[in-house]
Amino acid sequence: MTDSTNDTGLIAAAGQDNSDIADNLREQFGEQIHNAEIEDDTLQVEVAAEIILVVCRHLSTEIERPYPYLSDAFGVDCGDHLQVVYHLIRSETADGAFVRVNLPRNEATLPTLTALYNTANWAEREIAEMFGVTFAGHPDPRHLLLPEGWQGYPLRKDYQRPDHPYLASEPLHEDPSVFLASGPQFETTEE
Amino acid sequence: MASTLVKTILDVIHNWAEGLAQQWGIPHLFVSIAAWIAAFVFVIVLVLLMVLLAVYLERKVSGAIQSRLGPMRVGPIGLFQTPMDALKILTKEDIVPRDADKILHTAGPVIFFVTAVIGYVVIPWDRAAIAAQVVDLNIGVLFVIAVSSIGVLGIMAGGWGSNNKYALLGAMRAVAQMVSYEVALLLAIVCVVMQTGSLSLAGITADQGGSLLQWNLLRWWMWPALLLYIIASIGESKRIPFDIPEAESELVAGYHTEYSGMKFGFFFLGEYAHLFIIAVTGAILFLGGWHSPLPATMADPIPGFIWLMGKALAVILIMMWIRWTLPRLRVDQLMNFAWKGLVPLGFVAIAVTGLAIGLGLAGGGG
Amino acid sequence: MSETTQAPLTTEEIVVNLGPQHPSTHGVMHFVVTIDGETIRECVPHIGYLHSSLEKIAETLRYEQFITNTDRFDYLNGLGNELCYVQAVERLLGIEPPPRTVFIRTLMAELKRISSHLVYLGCYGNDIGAMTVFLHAFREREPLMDMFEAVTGGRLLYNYLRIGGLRNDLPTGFTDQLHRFLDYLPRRLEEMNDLLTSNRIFIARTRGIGILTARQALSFGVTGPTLRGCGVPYDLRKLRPYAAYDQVEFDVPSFPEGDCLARHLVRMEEMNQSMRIIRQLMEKMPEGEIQADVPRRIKPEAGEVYERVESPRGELGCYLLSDGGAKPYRMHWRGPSFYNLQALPVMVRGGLLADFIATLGSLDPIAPDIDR
Repeated sequence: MTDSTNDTGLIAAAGQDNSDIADNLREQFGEQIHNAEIEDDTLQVEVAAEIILVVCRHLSTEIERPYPYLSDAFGVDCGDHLQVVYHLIRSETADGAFVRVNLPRNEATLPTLTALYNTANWAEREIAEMFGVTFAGHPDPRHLLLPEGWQGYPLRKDYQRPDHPYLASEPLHEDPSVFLASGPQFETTEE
Repeated sequence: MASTLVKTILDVIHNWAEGLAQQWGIPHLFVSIAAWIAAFVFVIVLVLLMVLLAVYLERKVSGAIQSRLGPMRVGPIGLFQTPMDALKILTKEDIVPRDADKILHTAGPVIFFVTAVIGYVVIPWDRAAIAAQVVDLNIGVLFVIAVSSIGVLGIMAGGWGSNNKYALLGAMRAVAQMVSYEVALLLAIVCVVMQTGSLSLAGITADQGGSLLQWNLLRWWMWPALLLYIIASIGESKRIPFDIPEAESELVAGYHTEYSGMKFGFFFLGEYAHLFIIAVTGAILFLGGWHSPLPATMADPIPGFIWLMGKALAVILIMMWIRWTLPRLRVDQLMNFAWKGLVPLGFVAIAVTGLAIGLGLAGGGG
Repeated sequence: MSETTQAPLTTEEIVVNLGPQHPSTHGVMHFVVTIDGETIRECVPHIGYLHSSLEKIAETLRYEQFITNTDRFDYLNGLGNELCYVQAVERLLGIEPPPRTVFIRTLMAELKRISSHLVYLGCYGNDIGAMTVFLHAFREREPLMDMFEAVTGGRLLYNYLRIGGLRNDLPTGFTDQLHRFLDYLPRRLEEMNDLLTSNRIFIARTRGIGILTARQALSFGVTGPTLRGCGVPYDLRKLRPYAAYDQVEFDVPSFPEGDCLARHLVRMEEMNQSMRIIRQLMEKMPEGEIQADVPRRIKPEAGEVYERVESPRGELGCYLLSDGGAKPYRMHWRGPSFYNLQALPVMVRGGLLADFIATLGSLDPIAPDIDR
């Protein structure tokens, strides 16, 4: 159930490597690494927003046993600040590293990681619309799950449901591609 | 015997009509026109009945293959389900998309249905003695294929006139497909024509008379043509595995996406009418037409047109069996198959038939 | 659909909207596909039609109340979702569920995997045009649904797992029911393989279609059978065994081609492996309690946990952040379909429209799992 039951030799070995990684990170980036430690076999790093791209590139490509892939990214509203969490993984052993960035509520801006990981594209779009984090340089900064023109950031703790209308009044889409399908309503295969 | 009974009834009706006309002083010309109209009505009614039967069969056969029952609720074992659906479709609103080309949108299903039905006029339903053929064209088989290929125009008109991308894609696929498969179909027919020496469907039937062994099905040199005909006719009738013009999972409903009510009904009925005429033609070309498989010495209580219908239904059952078993080909694979598989097979079939004729096995055009 | 007047004959690309209502979008999804003739030039997925904000709802419900909502994410893997969530809460609380519970949970997750793959099989047959496979696959799924009904009372939404336990033990007669099913299914799968997998048309439609390389797949966060179809044997059940997976033997099927056929074969083989797992679980099934001691009020100490399990669609992640209250402070759900779908434009570009459907179906996406 818990990780204590999974202590195979492989993951234990990975854990030792991970502790090196934490130390190396602290050495290399110094003050800008706010926290780097190993919990169970998982690397937990908290970094300053300025160096997120560098740290992720470092973890993904430059270290001996890298975490080359981004598995997941999500935001957390910590009250006085926002946090964005990246979950990096190794595909051989599936062990992961959590890289966290704290951001001020008002000016939450992060460089995009889309150049490093394709995964980051949709994940960042979701964080952007749900938490109001701006990802500088994102190639496709449209809304993902919410309609264009949605006001407010629903997953923030202080989100108030707006009075009707939910959406801004300007025309929804100029993009002609969002016209609905012209076909009739057919039964879908699953619903 | 039943076939003579039918003939007697027809004669009685004809005599009665002639007598009535003379009695009322109606010119003979009008009687002839009335007879023509009656014949055409007979054909239409026949076609619609056959279509209803084919639709019902399709549902039951697919049900059996998919281990379910098919329609069961309306009427005994669901017999009235299809007529009720036909009635229902008549009551539905006819929706024409705002930006559609109204003329083409209306013309599409009409052309498609009419061309599917017209071919029936040359089908010899029974022996010539009882006038069970509306007209006996000496190029009957060519007429059937030529007329049904005009149906492509209806599909294109409907698909283009709907102003819908799915419909347009479906129509373009349909045109490409039907034109290609017609080539293969014609090559198969050429073999039969070489064998019988006649383009008339009645003549082709006559050539297979006598006994079961005279059927083209049992002449080994016709087997490549038979195989070709079966495959090409499935392609021609746009059924799985060749149903790309209306591939539901890709194009929603293909060229008839934007149709509702009776216009959709025309496409639907036309499709089955088309299917049926292809099956009937196949039965005539290869299965001996209205000839009974029983030896000539045995008394045959079943009229010829029942035999023909039964043979056509057997062909349709095979097509349904294939439809509910196989997946669908992709558009490029389908075209490749037609031009690189079927057309060469057609040439082989012609060569084999020619060889058989040269060796004196086959009729070689009497 | 341009109105060409006197202009010279030209071709132009047209934009086709596949969805939100379309026969094969596997739920409510929308793809704006630019096609040149039948060749796909560009594909842009639009998602969010089924966004139900379950992550926000989780913040308003107590830990034990949210279990029923997890069924709604990936509705073909309800018990697997519950397993992921419940394990996350248990790790937060530091509770160890009794062994019998762990076994039953694993058993249910594997049955759910078979059931989900059967739905995939049927829908994929339908996508490819083999309509009969759809009904046959759903017929084979029916005994499974009966079993779920017998155990949990529900056929689609279960609410069966509890924090530290289960709602109820396996009912009497379940073992017979299960063994009958296990005897019956392999024959049926063989029949499916005859009908679909070994069909030449099916192979022509899927081999070399929708190719994703292993690097691309990993870079897009693709997991599950789709990733294993690219030759990466990434399976959390093996790599980080949870529940009772460390006590059973099974293989992780993987095929290196990365095309639709490879993904299909992976799923077909996974059903066999799941049956193997289920047989072992039934053999080793311990007796005993099914409920651990759990505090009357579930209030985990402040902390966080990220739990991962292998769903039929890939890596399912559940992040829970507790502030010490009775409700999660933040819950995040990593739906595998969300990341899998992101790779779709790469896979379909340059293919034909029919390949798009084949590729989409082979990803086996579930709309509520994408939109959450």
